[in-house]
Amino acid sequence: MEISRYERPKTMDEAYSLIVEQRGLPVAGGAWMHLTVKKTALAVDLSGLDLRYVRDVGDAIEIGAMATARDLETSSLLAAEFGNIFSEATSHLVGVQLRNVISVGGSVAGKFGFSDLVTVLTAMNASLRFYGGAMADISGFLAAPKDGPFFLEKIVVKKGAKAAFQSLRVTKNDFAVLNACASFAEGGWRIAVGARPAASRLSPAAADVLGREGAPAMEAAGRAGDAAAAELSFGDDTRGSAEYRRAVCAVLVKRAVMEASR
Amino acid sequence: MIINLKVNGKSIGVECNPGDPLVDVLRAAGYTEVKKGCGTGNCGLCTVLLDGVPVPSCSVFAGRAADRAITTIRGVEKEATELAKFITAEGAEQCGFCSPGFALMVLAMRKELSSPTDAEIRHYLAGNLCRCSGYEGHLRAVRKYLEAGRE
Repeated sequence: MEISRYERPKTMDEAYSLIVEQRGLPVAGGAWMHLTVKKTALAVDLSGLDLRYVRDVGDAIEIGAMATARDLETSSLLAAEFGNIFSEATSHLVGVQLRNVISVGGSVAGKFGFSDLVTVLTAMNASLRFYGGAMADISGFLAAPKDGPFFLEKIVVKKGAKAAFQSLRVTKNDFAVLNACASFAEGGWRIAVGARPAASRLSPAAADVLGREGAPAMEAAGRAGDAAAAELSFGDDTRGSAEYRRAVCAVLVKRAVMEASR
Repeated sequence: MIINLKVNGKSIGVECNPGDPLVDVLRAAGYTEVKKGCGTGNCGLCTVLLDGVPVPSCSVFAGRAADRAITTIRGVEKEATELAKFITAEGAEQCGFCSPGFALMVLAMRKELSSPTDAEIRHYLAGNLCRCSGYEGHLRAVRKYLEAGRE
């Protein structure tokens, strides 16, 4: 990748100016960028900022944009609060080396369709905090068209959710053919499906089927899976056809709901 | 532009684009023990330690590595030589092209995991592909190497 000017800011204000005012390209983990971007006039390396953390802030866990996939995989804080779901959503991603590079912020900001983590964050209703004060819920952010530069600072996940993740892979460390996450919190369900192969989307129809019942019967979980498969759109790529993904969706959502309700 | 790299404790200035993959810059600077494979972070051949943490150097910009401690297999020669005794004893070396990246991952794993199970060893080393061996020799060698270190 050809970069004309490379900056590694030391302060958030400096980074904000470079990204938002000077329209620099933020480099978070950078693991995929060299595969997708050929050339940029200004690259803004975020590794000099204090954005690599997973911390407890009382009613929520805050994840800094530069926390790595490996940080989430091995976080005792996330494991204590949410069980193994963050480990499940990160540990299949290639190898430890690459997971030491991949950042949460990059995966979210890039709206990567293949990301398991983005699907989990979507189901868990994570909110995004942008430096400068703006906030967004992740599902709205993923669905919105690109609208000018932004500087993602952290991702906030409320405590109390019971969530489970499911995926289907051709090989263990490959991207998923399809992934799904079911999360129950505050008396309601959120069902997200990703690797469609486009980015994760919620299925309100699946959530409607489940209603406010935190421990649905297997039959209801199956109907939720069918509802998600009917509601969401799917595409073709080398890992699977849209038709195959739709069939897999019904099964993964059902399994995720049953696992989350245990 | 000139980027300052600290490789195996030695500072060098290299002329490169900050967006060049670190593996290419290292190899051009003579550190050919860093092998290049897939170029997408999947195979583990190009693994180096960046501030002590294993990363695929094909997936790290040279600009990001500036002024940080880079360790190649040559920087841990003594430890790698010790590990190599176990690798060869188990017939796991074969062509050797994956060995630099593999050895650096084993050394990193020894620091990170105190007493890994076979499943944890396999999981930690899953990002290091070997086209010769079938991995069973590697697993036996690593297990014995770690056991010897604990004795």
